[in-house]
Amino acid sequence: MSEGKYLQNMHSALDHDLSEEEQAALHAHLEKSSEAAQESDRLHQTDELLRSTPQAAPSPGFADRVMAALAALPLPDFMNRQLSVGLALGLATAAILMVPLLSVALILLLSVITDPGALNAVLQTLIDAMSYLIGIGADFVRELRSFVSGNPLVLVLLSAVIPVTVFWGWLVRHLWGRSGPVMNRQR
Amino acid sequence: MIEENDSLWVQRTLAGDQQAFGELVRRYERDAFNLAYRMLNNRGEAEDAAQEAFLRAYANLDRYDMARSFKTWLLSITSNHCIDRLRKRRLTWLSLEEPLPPHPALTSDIPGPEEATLSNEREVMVQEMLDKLSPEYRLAVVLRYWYDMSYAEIAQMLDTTESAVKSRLFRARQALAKQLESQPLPSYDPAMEGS
Repeated sequence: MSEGKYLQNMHSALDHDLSEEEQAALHAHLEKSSEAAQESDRLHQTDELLRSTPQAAPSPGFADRVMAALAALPLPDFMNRQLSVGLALGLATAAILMVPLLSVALILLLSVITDPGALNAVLQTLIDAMSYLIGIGADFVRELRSFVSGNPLVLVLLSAVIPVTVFWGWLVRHLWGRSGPVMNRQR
Repeated sequence: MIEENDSLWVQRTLAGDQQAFGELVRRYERDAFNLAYRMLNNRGEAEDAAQEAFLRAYANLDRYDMARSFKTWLLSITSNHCIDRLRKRRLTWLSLEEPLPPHPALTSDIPGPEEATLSNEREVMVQEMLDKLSPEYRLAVVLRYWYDMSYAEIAQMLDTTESAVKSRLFRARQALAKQLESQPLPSYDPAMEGS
């Protein structure tokens, strides 16, 4: 075996990457050659020095400083994409929810304020038009309209509009509250 | 188990929870800093580099492959950033107007030779020895000794072959052993203590 191969095996020995036969051959070589033994000692000393040197630690508060720096940066693309999709979906949902309910609210208000009899034909037309547009919602509209001639119309109106309005307001505020800081950070 | 937890924190971060990323920062701050410190040999610069690595990881988190280890991915970002810094530093040094970089013992928080303990002397010595290696060799040594990475893992991280990694480590160890020959390890002598 050449000296170069023995040197390679000295390195492999440090990685515990030698077969028993190779180890035995290397050991025999080191006993015969003092030069090779010195080389091996130096390598072992180097290996030991590196292995015994612990990881260096950052100064206290490093993680907090990283998080502060992170908060001061514009949001990454994946966050902005998420916000854009969320905002679009939120507004679309809010719009879909609000159109039929606001229509119903308008009809109910008109019915309450004015003479239901005189406006009946107009309201009927409007309700038909709305029912044509909103499909399944039309049944709900007719049901509500039947309550127009009933007593607690205002309560029905409020109970329908208020939760949706609150939900819509919360949705807009929630999305605005998260996208708002993006604008501030980019300034 | 930690790897699984890492994926959870990554998923939470991707879902919009910025504080979830803080957990990953706390978990790997030491790993990122140590790599940067071993590469750059300056504590202040190493903190800047480690911080930059975390910010880059956060900005590109949607590109992180959860099948891989987050730690390895972070170390990869950190090492790339350190190599970039070393290249820029080299260019800066070439300018005659720039002052020479201070001695590592002066720029680090490690005490000077007079007041240094034995472990700190060895620490300074290790850094000086590493500093004399080329960045590629230094990186291979650091990943092998401080992160216990296999040749295959190092090769994958550095986008090279196992034989190339083996060759780098071989040459690096030879160079380090040669340095050690001319600069013996400080030995601990109890008789000198308190004298």
